[in-house]
Amino acid sequence: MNEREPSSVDVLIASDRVPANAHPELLTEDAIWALLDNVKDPEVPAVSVLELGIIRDVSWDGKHLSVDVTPTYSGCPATELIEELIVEALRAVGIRDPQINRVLTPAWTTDWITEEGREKLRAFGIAPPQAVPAK
Amino acid sequence: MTQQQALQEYLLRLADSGMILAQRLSELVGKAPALEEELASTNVALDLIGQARNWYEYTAELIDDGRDADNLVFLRDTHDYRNLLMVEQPNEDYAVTMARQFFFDVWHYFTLKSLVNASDERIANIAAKAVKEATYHLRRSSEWVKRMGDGTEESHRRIQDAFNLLWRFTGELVTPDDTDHAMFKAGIGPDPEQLKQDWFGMVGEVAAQATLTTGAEDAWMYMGGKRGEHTEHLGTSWP
Repeated sequence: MNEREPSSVDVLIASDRVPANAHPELLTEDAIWALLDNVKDPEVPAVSVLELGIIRDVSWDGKHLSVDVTPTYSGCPATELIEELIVEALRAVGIRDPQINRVLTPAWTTDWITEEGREKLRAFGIAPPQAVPAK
Repeated sequence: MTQQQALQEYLLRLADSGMILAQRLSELVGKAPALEEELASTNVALDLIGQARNWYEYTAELIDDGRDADNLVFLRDTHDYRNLLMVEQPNEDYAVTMARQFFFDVWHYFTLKSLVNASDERIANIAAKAVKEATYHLRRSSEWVKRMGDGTEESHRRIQDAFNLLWRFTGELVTPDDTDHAMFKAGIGPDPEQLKQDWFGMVGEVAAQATLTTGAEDAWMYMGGKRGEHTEHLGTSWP
């Protein structure tokens, strides 16, 4: 095989390649959570899907990973894009067929935005919603 | 009518009513009377489309004849739609738009509030999400009804005219038919009698604060939307 410098095309398509991770199932659930912290909200890229509080559960069942995601509101136009970004991030570490479950209950509330998420929203120029005492 | 058929009919009513109202509201894009209303009306439309998608997806799974949610929304004929006649009425002036929204929101809010406890888990979950959104919708439309009714002479006249114009479509919101009764019996839909009481209770209360008069409960009502008999306005809302 010819040895050569990687061309720009190689770099471009690198993100589409599944790296040789023979045992992605060895990634712990904690490692998956950490990974998802790199997936940004496409509408407000300052915060990750984790900080936004929309990842509800990550679990392995044998070799199958499933991730529960809750939409912020019923008509959120980014719902499908976010699900695709999550799948992409998981595929990048060799998890071929992650299952994304769209979970509606319990319904998302701004209370689920993490403290770090609130800080980042503030820095981004968005006033984070204040937690209100329950009526 | 089997219980399964009743369930599909009932889900289509929820889905179609939200979807058609969302289409009407979307006609206002770029035409709302103020920026705040431009944002609000399109956001309400977006909520309704999202909820409708959830209802359509479940309906498509139950019907199980190869049609998906997109198919149900866009590839049926007028008489296949099960939406309430109220929501297909044209926008007219903003008082009519808001009166239509208010009458619908009261119905929607109490219906969803009840569906949260449906014996069907999928319905309960969709409703739990939707009722939070419908609560905001109702707060907004009732505030507008009060502001217009208790506002200037002109705004009062317009919202009262809108109430008078749309009253004949309110009966359908609170008059149960076989499907509604079957759904209540199955532990899914709201108690029709309770829904009626709640609807008149809230509409009466807001109307009183808005210094508006409502029509009679036993006035003659147009009722056909739930079985696919529509006003001429539905056909033309699908150019």
